[in-house]
Amino acid sequence: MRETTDVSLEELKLMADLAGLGMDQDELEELKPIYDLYAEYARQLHDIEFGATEMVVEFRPDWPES
Amino acid sequence: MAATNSELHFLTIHQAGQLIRNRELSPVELTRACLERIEQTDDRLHSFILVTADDALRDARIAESEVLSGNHRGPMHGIPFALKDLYDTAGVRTTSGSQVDIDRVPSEDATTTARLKAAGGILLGKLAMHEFALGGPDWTTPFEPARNPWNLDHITGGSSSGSGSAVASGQCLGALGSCTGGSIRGPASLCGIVGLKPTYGRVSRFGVVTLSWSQDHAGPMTWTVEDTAYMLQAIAGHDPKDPTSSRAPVPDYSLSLREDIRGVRLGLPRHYFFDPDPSVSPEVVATVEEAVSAMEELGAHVEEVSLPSLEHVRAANSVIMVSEAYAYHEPNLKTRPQDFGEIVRGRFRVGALMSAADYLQAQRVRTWARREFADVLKSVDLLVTPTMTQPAAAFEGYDPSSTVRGRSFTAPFNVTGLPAISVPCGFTEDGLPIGMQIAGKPFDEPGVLQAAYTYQQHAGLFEQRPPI
Repeated sequence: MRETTDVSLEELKLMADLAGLGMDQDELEELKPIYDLYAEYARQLHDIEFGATEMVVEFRPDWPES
Repeated sequence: MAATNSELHFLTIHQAGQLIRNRELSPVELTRACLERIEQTDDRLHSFILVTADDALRDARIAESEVLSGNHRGPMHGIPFALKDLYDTAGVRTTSGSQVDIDRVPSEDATTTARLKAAGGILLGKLAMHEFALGGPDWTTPFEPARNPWNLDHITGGSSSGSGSAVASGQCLGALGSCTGGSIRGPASLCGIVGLKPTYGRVSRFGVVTLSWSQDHAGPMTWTVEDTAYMLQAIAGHDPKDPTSSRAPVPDYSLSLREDIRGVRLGLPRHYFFDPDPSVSPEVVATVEEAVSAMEELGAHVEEVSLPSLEHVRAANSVIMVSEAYAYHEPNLKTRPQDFGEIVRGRFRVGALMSAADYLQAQRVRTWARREFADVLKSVDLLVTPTMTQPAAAFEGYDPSSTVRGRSFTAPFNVTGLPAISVPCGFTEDGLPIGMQIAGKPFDEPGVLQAAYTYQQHAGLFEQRPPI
């Protein structure tokens, strides 16, 4: 689970490099606020306690028709 | 055939269809009237990316000939329509509003394009949109953003921006939009028209450029609920080319066009849609409250319902959207990022930085929301809410990130896949339109249409056209 959305520019650069985005410093600075917003959404999703109900991501074993 | 109306471009599909069927109006005259309207207004509205006038007039002449020879195909025959520029059109450029696809000419029609043509519709051209159906007005893309016909200094909403402005201003009688988080209902609400996001799987996505496979929906945008029913009838139904297309039978949607809402149970999730929130306009909420009261007076039963997952659905919608969008656009983002506009480039790149666990957690919230909505829709027939949190914002000072901050009233129905319509229900003090959203059970487009039709007939707001 993500502990914080306080990702530094250096960390964001590392993440972007690992993802193969090849961004320069200006682009990273532009990306940071919007990344922070989505990272906060992701954090919010991880913080949800679903309780005893199993909240599955479903796989349906039906095959496409030939 | 003789024209019967001095403002043909303001005819509804229903009105024009009847005149055409009765041979009192030629599809050629009607098409010319729309093309003239585009010519007169589009330098201010920027609804269209491409106008295919010659093809439209050719098709209109064919339609006229068919009608005169007794071969009337139905309510869409001879009706001028237009498509958001992510619907594939064989031989006609389809850009998705982006430099990335600036020269893309599909070889095949989208299934929806083909079905509208088969119903006799006359394609006028391709409509402006937010780049790849995301973000907001962006002057770093090749096309001027569409403007709101009710006030040209204001946005249309999006991403089906041109669809909203073109239908509202009478440039065309109907349009298709696409919707991943609210891109049909949003511009419909802000431009004072009707927009329907059908149930996921009801309308084929084949040939509609992808933003988010599991949340994208195709649907009609028109001046009246009645016209939406006619367009939906033409495009709904199973499509073997779309693996997510449903085999559920398609009903006759015209049977829903009855003014009767007596005994219908309307659920109001007040805690999310009506209670005060910094991101929500009290004027919008008050106007929708009045519309709900009107529906109650017409015989509906209103009750409050609770959907706790709503607090997290926007987050799920956003994370799923950018993750799937990145997967789709990854090759171009890595090789030619400069061809994307600034807004979309940033959002799509964020998709690369979401983890698999982030995406899966969003999908688990989706499961939660679907179960919860299904439970609530056992005790009520429909959910009624405001469509948008705010009326149309002004271009001046517009913050594109506002489209992903605060509450979203439309995204819950993309995440759950439930059918939802926006119907005009009033205006702000400044004369900007306000929409009411009505959502229903899976494949209950008939129930959604009937409630919206009943309200619209009662409210009569479709008499008032924008002042352009």
